Amino acid sequence: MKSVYKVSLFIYLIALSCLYGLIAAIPFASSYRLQSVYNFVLDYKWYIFAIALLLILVNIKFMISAVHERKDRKFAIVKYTEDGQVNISNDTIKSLVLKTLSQIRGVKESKVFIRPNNGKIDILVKSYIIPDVKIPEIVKTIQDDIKSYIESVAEIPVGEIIVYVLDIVQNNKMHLE
Amino acid sequence: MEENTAAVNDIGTVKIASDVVGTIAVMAAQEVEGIFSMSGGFTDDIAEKFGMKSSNKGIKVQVGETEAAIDLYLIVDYGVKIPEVCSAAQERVKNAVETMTGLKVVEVNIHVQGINSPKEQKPEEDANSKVK
Repeated sequence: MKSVYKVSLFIYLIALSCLYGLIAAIPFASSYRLQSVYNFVLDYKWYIFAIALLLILVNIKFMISAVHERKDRKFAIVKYTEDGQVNISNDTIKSLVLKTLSQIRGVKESKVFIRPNNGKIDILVKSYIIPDVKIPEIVKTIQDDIKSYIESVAEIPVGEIIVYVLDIVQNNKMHLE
Repeated sequence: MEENTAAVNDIGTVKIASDVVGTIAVMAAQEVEGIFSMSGGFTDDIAEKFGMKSSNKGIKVQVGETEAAIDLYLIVDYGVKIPEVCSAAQERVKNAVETMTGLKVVEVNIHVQGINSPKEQKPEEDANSKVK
């Protein structure tokens, strides 16, 4: 989960806790207090409506991301052995590819997509590379390294490896002091 | 887990809870070199956040009267040969459960859920560097 999601989940949980706290306090509140709360709600009804709507949207967002995550996890490579099955998840193969990419000189950031294809897997790599490297050479290295590593470590036959070079990144990062 | 497996002998009945089978399987699997940890589901992760450790995290056990089927959800170390590690885990879990409980293990299904990659320093990527 990305850090943005973590932060939003944290804020969302705090908001929910406050709401539950208010609900828990209702039975113990005097009628005068309840009346004042009701008046407060009426006074700020649009703000409260907006906050509630925001919370509902956040809720929907989490539900959608949960469904997407499940879809991603569905795909796995299954191998049959004498004692049972071995399932290697999509995320595992992605991690292996990303780890291989991190060890190739010149590759900065990458995204990996995997799809099954007639008993093999096709791998799509989208990478940012550093300047002053020969692109055809680095692409060839990426393809060779991934193929040999996945085939030796996971024993999964690799079909196509498509490499997209998205952009060239600068080595120097500017930051204010 | 409420399922118990029972063995009847001359003196009485021996019941083994499926949790016990699960714990044996987890312990056997974690002894295999190349396995980093068990991979729990969403509920296990939440429970762990609250400090509740489950001994049966990342395992599903189905027990019958004389047979058992086990599903293990694992995270393996980076650099190991996954099929070899899985095969070793299957064998060790099968042996451990069969020896300790007397149940026949019909299948041990392994689900590799992730890779544990140790934090290591990335090689220097300065394009201007003259030293390779």
